[in-house]
Amino acid sequence: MMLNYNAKTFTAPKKGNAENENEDAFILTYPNEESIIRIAVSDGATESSFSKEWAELLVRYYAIYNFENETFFQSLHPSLRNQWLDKVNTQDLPWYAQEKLEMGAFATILGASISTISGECNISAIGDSNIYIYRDEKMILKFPIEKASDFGSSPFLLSSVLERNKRADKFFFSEELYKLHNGDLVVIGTDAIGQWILLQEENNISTYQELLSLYSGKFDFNNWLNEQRIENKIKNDDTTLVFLKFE
Amino acid sequence: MAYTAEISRTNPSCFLFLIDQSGSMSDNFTETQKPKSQAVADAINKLLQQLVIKCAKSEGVRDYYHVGVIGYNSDGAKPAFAGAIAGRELVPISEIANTPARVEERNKKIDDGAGGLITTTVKFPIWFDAITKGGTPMKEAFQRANIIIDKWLADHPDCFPPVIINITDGESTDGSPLDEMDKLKNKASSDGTVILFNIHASARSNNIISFCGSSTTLPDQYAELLFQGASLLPEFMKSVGKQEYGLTIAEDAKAFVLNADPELLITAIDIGTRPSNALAVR
Repeated sequence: MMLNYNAKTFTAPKKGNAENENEDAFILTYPNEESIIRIAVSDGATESSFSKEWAELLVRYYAIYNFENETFFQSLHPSLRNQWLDKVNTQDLPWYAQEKLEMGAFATILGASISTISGECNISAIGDSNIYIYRDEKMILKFPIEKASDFGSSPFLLSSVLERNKRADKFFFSEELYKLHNGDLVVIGTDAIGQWILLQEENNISTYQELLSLYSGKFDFNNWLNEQRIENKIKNDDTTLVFLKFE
Repeated sequence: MAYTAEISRTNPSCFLFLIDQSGSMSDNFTETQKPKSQAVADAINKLLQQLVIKCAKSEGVRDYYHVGVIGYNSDGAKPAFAGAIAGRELVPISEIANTPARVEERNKKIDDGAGGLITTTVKFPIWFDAITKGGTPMKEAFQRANIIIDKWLADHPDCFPPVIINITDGESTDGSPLDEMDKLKNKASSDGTVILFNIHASARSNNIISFCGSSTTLPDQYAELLFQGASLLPEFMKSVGKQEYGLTIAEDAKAFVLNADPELLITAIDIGTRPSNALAVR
C-alpha cells in the first residue's frame, strides 16, 4: 500500500537580513522509480562566504545520490567542489574575497530518504540541522542532536575543502531503518528551530500541536517566528522548516 | 548575561587598537632579530585582515565592526590610518577592507582540492608600516581611547562591548597609564564592560605567555603593569582558548599576552555560525 503524504516548507532569513541573504537551502523530490522521496536541508555558515551556493549544491547532490555512509563524500567531493568553484570563482576578486574563497564554504546537511511503499526511512546528517518524527502526537525520534544544549555556535560542518572533513565521528547515519506509518509527522529544521523544539520538549511542553498549526497554516510561519524572536524564545538566525505529514 | 548581544549591521561593535610607535620599538627581538615595530606592524595588519575576512561575505564586507587605530609616539596619540581614511578615529570595516595603503603579493601554499598543497600568489593588504619616533605617551593614548569609547557607547548603548587592543613594549614615558586603563575597563554597554587587551612586545624576554593568571611570574615591571591594566579574560573567550586553541587558562586569567599571537580575541567573538573545522587546518 502506498503511503500518502503532504509536504510544506517554510524558510525565513535572520531578522535584519535581506531575503537573498538567507543561506539555508532545502529540497524535496517527487518519488523516483523506486517510489522513494528525498528531502534535504542545509544551513550555510555565516562566517564562511559563498555558503549559500555550497548549501544549495549539497541538497541537490543529496537528492540525486543519497549519502548512505561517509565514503560518499570522498567520491562526490571533487565534483561538488568544482561545481562550487565554477559558481563563485570569478576574476579580479578583492583580496578578502579571494582569501575567503580559499578558506572554503561550510554547511550542514540533513537528508532523509523515505520509501512511500514500505515507509522505510534512512537519514544522513552532518552538523546541527535536525529531524524529528512524531507519532500519536509524541516525539519518537530526534536525530542527530538529542539535547537542546548540544546546539552551539561552532558545529562541525561539511566543507568545500576536502582536508577539513576528515572526522568520520561527525558524520551521522541512522543505523536502523525507521518505518513511517500513516499519521506520522516528519519535521526537519535548521538549528534555531531545532533547538526551540528540544527546549520546549525538555520543559515538558509538547511541540506537536504548535508544529501542526504551522503545518496546517493555522499559524502564519513568519508571524509566529517574529513573535518567538521578539520574546527571545528562538535564536535569531536563518530558519527553515520542512514538514511531511503521512495520512 | 554579559557578552551575548547580537553583532549585526544595525547593532555593530567596535575594535580600537592602540599602537606604540616609540623609538624603543626599533629594538630587535632577541630571537628573530626583527625590530619590535615591524613585529607590531605585522601583528596589526594580520589582525585587521582577520577582522575583514571574518566580515567578508559573497557580496562584500558587512559592517559588523567599526575599527580605529591610534598610534602613539613623540607627536602624541593620533589616528594612524594612512591613505583615504587618514585622520579618522573609527571607520566601518568595509571601508578599511577597500582602502589598504597598498596590497602586496605573497606566495602561499593552499589545498589543491585533492589532499595536496600547491603554491599560489595571494594578495596581502598592508595598512601600516613600522614607525618609530621618540617617546611613549601611553597615558595620552588611553585618555584618547576613553574619549572615543565614550562617544561610541553613547551612540551604541546596546552594542556588544568594544574591544581595545593596546600593543606596546610597555615603557610609558608620560606617567602611569593605569588610571586611564581602569577608567576604560569600567565603561560598559548594556551587554557588559569594555574588554581591554594588553599585548606586550618585549625584546628583553624570550618568554611567550598567553592569557596568564596572577600566579605566573612576569619578567619585568612593564609586563606587570600591562597585566594589571588588562581586563579579566571573559568566560566566552576562555572557552574558545581552551577548546579551540588548546590553551591552559587559569581561572583569573587576564586579557594579556607577552610575545604571543592574540588571534584568539578575533576568533572568539561570534558574528554567527563559525564552523569548528574552519580553524583546524589554518
